[in-house]
Amino acid sequence: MIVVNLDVMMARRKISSGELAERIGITQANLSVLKTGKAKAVRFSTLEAICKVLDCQPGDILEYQEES
Amino acid sequence: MKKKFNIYCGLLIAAIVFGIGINMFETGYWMYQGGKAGIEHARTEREMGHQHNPTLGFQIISRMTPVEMMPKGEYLMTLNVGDSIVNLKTGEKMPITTMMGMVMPENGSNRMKVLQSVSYLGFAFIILFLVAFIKLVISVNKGRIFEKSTETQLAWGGWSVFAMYVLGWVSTLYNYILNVQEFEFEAYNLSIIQKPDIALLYSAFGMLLFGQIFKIGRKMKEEQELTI
Repeated sequence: MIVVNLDVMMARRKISSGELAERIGITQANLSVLKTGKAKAVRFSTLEAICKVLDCQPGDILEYQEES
Repeated sequence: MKKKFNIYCGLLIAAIVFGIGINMFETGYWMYQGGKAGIEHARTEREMGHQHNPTLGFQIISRMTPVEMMPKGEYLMTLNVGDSIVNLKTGEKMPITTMMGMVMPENGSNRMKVLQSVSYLGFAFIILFLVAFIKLVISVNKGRIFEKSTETQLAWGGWSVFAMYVLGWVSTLYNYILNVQEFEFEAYNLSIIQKPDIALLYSAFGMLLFGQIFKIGRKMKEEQELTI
């Protein structure tokens, strides 16, 4: 399974959910879906916007873990 | 888009009501004929000084059950089926084969009660189907298409129609088995000619199938909504 480590990057960059959601162009509700791992898929355009705002690589926020 | 959907739904309901209306008309027509004959007979008897029950026609009709039969081969080939009918246009008597009739079995009243009970149950399933169908039409008009309730309504509709088909066979086989136990006609073999309409089965499974298609659509919609 793919784990989204958005909280970690957000803490490092000291950015709130509301501000991040506004800057990448999605709703806070959708950002919450992404952070809690409930999303089924992420668009490249969304990933690009996240990486641009948080100044990071996709691998910094997406991690593969074996399902137990 | 919704306009055409509503038009087709209206046509379907109209077809169902038309079908039910024809059945009720046929039943009512024969009840009326029986009653009319009974009343006429009572009037004749009264004129002759005899007492007669004017409801006798209804009582007789209520004890009669349908019987279906095919002429036996040897009788059909010789046209000697033992039955004849007068052609009023020519005044001639001509042979005739009968494939459906009404007979009065020993426990006709009880048998009719069972068949009527099955009919009422079938009618209940018709109502259930119509309720599910109308709810489906309302849901679609409100834009609630790919939702769990839509699948539920289609499932209810499909299983209701399936139940109607099964009940049709229950009453047909019940009547046939009892007829075989009680009757044996000289020139005819008892048979099942009017079977329950197989189109009901196609419709039932069609509705269940569409329910699954809507389920797939709902999953796709959920996945789309959870694509950030």
